[in-house]
Amino acid sequence: MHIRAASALALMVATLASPALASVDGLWVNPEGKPTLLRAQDDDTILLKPGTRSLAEIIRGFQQLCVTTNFDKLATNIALFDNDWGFSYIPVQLETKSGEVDLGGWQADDAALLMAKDVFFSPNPQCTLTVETAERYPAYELLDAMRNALGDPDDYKTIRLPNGEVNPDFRPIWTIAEDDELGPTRIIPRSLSNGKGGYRIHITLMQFRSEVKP
Amino acid sequence: MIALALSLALVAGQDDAPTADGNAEYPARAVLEAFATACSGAENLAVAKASVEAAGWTMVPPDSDSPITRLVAFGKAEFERQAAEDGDELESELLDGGEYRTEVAGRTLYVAISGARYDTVIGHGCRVYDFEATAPIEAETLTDWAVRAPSNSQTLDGGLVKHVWNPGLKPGHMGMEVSFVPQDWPLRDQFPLSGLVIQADTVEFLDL
Repeated sequence: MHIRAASALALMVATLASPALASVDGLWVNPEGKPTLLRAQDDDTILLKPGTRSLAEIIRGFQQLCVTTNFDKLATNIALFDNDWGFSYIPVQLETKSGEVDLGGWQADDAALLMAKDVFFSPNPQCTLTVETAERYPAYELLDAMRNALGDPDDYKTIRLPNGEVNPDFRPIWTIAEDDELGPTRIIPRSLSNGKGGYRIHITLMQFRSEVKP
Repeated sequence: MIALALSLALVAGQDDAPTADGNAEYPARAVLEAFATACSGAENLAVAKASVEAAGWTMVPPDSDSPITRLVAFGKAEFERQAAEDGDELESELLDGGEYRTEVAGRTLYVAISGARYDTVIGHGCRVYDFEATAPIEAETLTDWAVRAPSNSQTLDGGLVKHVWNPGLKPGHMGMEVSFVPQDWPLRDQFPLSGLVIQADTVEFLDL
């Protein structure tokens, strides 16, 4: 499904086999903060399995592994000593003319953690925790759980349209730090399909460029 | 088109083809830079179209007779055929894209900006075409320009060439592909494509 969607109309040219590098079964976000893939899944990707974590547990894991580690993989390794999710690191080295770039991340049975800073594919520092769940947690349940942990999102007043109906384009964001030079650091939670009938919670911490609005 | 892709995969084999920039007259760098400018915002169709127009590309009316309108019409017909085949199993729709034309270093280039949604997944594509190109761009030229070698390269019987980069050239892009389809490609009667194709692809996941 993912590969097909990514190839939408790309099929103007024959779609042949993708390279056979292992990859982490997680999502990244693009510079607008929207969930994306940076490479097609391949046969070596170990797919996440649905787990039984609650939203509160997922949010605590995100805070532990992303919010407190400041986009620093070494700090994340240290934080993982106090985490019992079963993460192990999957290195994915990409050769460039200026050296190797690491596309790798951590993966557990039901979760993936991807982090990047100062690399060409994500100049905005980002940390994204993806958790596959057996239970479907709709966006409004995720919003409630996030509000319990973080308070109201920045854009909470836009949750309803002027006519009182729920705004279908409402996407909650929390700004947790401001930097005049580097831009704001924001949290973006999403409740997504895994593309195969399953459910995923995806929470991102990203430092936006000042001019970019998610 | 999927069937076509499979047929191409089945005929895969090694073949040495001449390269466009083996001929010093082909402005490979200028064409690649035109692609980079036109397709840098592929993750957002509105931004992509605005970028192309800001860069001086001219919109090609959908009802005009040109290689790009023939190709896009073919692609849309295939999309509709596939959607009908999928029926209720997969909800899909084409998004509002556009086609444009420009001249770069003596070459006529077209760009097609497109998108489609399949259930909660959206794919965007931005493709620059030089339909009249008679040879592929050398892999070494592409590597120098992209600052990394392709993740995968294939040369197929009949002179078809395809180079793939994952991730793509720009932040947030899933892939970039540079392909060449010979002018005398045997399947051209069925598939209105020839020359160079340089494309950026993005994918986005929507809320449940």
